[in-house]
This record gives sequence, C-alpha cells and structure tokens, in this order.
Amino acid sequence: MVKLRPFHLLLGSIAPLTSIVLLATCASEPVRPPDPGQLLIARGREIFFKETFGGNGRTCGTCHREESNFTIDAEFIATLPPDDPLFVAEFVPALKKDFEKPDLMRKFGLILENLDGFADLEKGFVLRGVPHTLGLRTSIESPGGARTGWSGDGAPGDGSLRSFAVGAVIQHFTRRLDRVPGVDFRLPTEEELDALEAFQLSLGRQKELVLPLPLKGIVPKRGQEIFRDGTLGKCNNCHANAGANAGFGNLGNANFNTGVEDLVDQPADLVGALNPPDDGLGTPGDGTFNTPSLVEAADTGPFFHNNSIETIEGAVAFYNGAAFNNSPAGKTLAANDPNGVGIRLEATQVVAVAAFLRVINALDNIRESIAQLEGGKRVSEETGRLLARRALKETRDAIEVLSGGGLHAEAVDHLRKAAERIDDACSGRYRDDNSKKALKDLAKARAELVEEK
Amino acid sequence: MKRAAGFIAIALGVMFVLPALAQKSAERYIPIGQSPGLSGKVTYLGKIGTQDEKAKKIGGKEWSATITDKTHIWVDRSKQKKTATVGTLADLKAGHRVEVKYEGSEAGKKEGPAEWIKVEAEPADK
Repeated sequence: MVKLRPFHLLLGSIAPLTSIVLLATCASEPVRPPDPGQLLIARGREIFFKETFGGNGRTCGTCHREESNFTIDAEFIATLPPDDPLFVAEFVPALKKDFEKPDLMRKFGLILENLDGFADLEKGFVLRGVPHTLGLRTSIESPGGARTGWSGDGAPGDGSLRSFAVGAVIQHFTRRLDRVPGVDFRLPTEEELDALEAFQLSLGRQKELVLPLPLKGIVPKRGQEIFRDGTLGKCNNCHANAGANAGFGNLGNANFNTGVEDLVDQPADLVGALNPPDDGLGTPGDGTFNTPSLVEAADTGPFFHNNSIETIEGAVAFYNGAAFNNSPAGKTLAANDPNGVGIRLEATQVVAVAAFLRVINALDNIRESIAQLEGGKRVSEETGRLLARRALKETRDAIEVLSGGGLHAEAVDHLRKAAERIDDACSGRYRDDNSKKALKDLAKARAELVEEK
Repeated sequence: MKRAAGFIAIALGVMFVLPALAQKSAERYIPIGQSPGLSGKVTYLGKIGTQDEKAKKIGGKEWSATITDKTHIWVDRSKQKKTATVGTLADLKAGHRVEVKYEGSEAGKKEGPAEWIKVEAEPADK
C-alpha cells in the first residue's frame, strides 16, 4: 500500500501539471479528492531530490539538477560548494579511488560508470555525461523495451525506466566500493520505484512535435528543411520530428554506432588521464548508443555520451566529419545516397540546422514557462512562487538559447520583459498581475518564432 | 523516400535488434528475489536439489537450468553483510537457494539455458 501525505507532498513539491492546481485552490472552493497520479508524481519528486537511500549522501537530483535542466555540466559544477555530494570521491576516504575521476568530472561533467562489470575497478570503467530526464515520455520506448541511459541498457532487472533507480543507487550512491545492500545503501522499495518513474515521466514535454513547424525565421526555417531533407541533412532518419525516435520502421528509440568514440581530440582525452573507450550497448559492447531527443538539446549540452562537444553547432557539424561518415551509421547513409554521400553540409547549413534546434528548444522553454505560470494561478503564495521560479528558469533558458545563436532579437526582447515580470512574481510583488503580463510577453515571443494558428 | 527508409532499416538492423536491454553489471549486487521487474515475475526462485558439473546443469524436482559460457553466476552474500562475488559452477551447491533468470523474457520458464544465476553463499537451512 502506498503511503502518501497528500497535502504536505503537494505543497512541498508541486508537480508542474495543471490538474494539481485544482487540488490547492482557495479554501472557499469545494475540496476535491487528491488525484492519485499527481500524488505519485509529487512523491517521486520528493524521493528524486531528497532520498539518499542510506548511501553516501547523493540523491538522483545530485546529478540530475532541476536548476540545470536535470543534467550537469562543468560550468554548473563550478558553482557547487566543495561539500556537495557530487564530490564524495574528494572527501569520503572509502570512495577516493575508483569511484569517480574528480578531475574529469570538474572539467567536463563526466561521471564514472562500471557498465561492463565491477571486476576491474581501476581500468574497467567508462566516463559519461549526465543525460537529462526531460521528455522521457516520448523518447525511450522501443519494441525491445525501454532504452535508458546513453547506451539504452542503463537499468538492471527488466531494463525499464522504473528499474533504473536500482542500478543508479548501486553505482552512484554507495558508501563503499563493496556495494553491500543494507550496509552501503538500501535498494528502493517497489513504492519508491513507482513514484520515481511517475515523476520522471512527468518532466518536460509529454508528446512529440509534429514537423514541419510554421517557423518565421528564415535561417531556422531553412534549418528545418535541411533537417528533414532525406538527401541533405538526413537528420529525420534517426530523430523523427526532432525527437529520439527513428523515422522508419516503427522502431521507436533506437541504437546506432555513429562513430562518436572515434572523434579525434576529444577534450577528456586531451587531459591525458585514463579514459577507456566506451563500447556502448551490452557486454562486450556493440559500439552503439541510443538516440537522444533534440528538442531539449540546445540547453542541455555538452553533447554525446562523452560530453565531447560543447556547442549545438559543433554537435551538428560532427555529422559532417570523418568520425561519423566512416561509422556504420554514416556508411549506411552513404550506401543509400545516389551520390554515395553520408552527410555533407556547408558551414551555413550546419548553422541553419543548429538555429532550427535552438528555436524548437526555445519554443519548448516557452511552453514550459507558460505551463508553470498557468499552474501558479489560484494556488498558495508559496506554491505560486515555486512555480514562478521554474518559469523564470525556462524563460532565461529561452533567452540564452536564442541569443546564443544570434536569433530572433524581437523574441528575446519579449522574453527579457517576461523574465523581469516573472522575477518580480517570484519575489511576491503583485504575483498574479506580473504573471498575467509575463504570459502575454511569452505569447508575443512565441509569435515571433512561429506562425500562430 | 520510403524505399530508402526501408534500406536504412535493414542495413542498420543489426544495431538495434538485440535480445535484452538490461544492464547486467549492477545485477550482481541485487540480492536474490529483489531484481526489479524480474523477481517474482520472470525468474525462478528455489533451492538447488542437484548439480551436474559435467552436464553444467543444476535443478530440483520441477526445474532445471543449464549453465552456458554466457551465464553470469553471482554469489549473494548480503545476509553475511559482505559484497557479492562472481561465482562459478562450483558455487552452485545442492541445498543453496538460487534465483535463475533464463534466457528470454517469458514468465514461468523452468528449464533451459540461464542468463544469470544468483546463489546464496550459505545453504538455505543454515
């Protein structure tokens, strides 16, 4: 039986869905029974950010930071205090050796994983970035089961998202490298796994985009054309609708060997520290990694499983290079091209595709900001401010994503105004009024990016 | 376009048609009966009745499991508050409690090659 504390959960950790608003309306309205689905999400949120499972102090939120789009990078890591649980390998003697590579974590946001077993802790590891947990509802299903983590096989047990936390606790939460359940950590209960799954599935967008979008900007619009062009960008083959699912064969989320491991001059390699090759799915690995969603890409870099590329432009340009075009995936594209070409884009085309990705990311930020602000209507002051803070974060991301690509100056202006108003709403100053005005600014920003129906 | 997509699907097929997507390495540290989504649903839990080292087979009254080169064997020492170790056929002794995950994902399997076997370090009646 699931034990929940309905109102405490809702007030302490509101889920960003509008139905929750109904649960916390003002006292004069009739009391509705709590929505079990929302309660489970709220419980999952609490576990995700607070539960250490008796381990070294880390929670799921230690690496999947809400304030950093449920991932981390070197820039964010640099803002953390030295006693943050992320750095347990630096201050817990039992974890000092072979638990993390602190230097590479701090420089590149890389986390150590013993995916091929724990027999040789000194050399048997790989270093991977932290994948965000947004949009999982649309991005991990395949006919063979859920594809979790960077290589699609991140979860023990039945391999489902629900089971993922068990493996994460064993790998990342342990007090010692002996990894004894009941001593070094406790395993999540069935109820906790249910709640964690519900919470993760609630994050970010809940459905696929439907391309093409009626974009207004000339460069992003051209980028969308290139993206979808089966003879040019060919991106839609593996990222249908800019998501994580293959555009052919009803495969859902799929694994490919795109040659990322063969990139020369990977930043983590340049440091000179031991950074063993990552063989991807399975043991021994087959060299494949699963496809991430691109809608959320522009504000969740660095890119690829090893954080080898910092910018979205660089990530698009990767597909022009020898590493991709000599890979199994690149060769397959070439074999099916009338001119025998895998992917070959001009620099302007690379930038156009990246501009398209920036715009769809900003549109998703705006969608989320609006959802948070709408959710903040008629709730308690405390909850309203919490939701406003999330809206502010999303709005600022949209500004950064667009201005980083020199895109849509007018939209950025509207977003800045929205951010100012939301900032005021966060501090409690005329919250309702500022939220209403911010919603209008957000709508104006969106209207600059895409034709409204 | 459809034709090209079909080609790509066939050409890339080997990359995504794989039997299992679960992560095996962490499984080692999950005690018998606690594997999420598997224990009580897909795996067989029981006590080893017989062990045939030559035939690489273990079993009981109603079940048997074959150990192949791919079978992972883990010794569950969580009751002794010790780390789980990688085991061998020699660890699969009569009287010890085991959990068997057979190859494939069908529920109710009670014979065939094992994908992994967890065995308790001490006999079940100890």
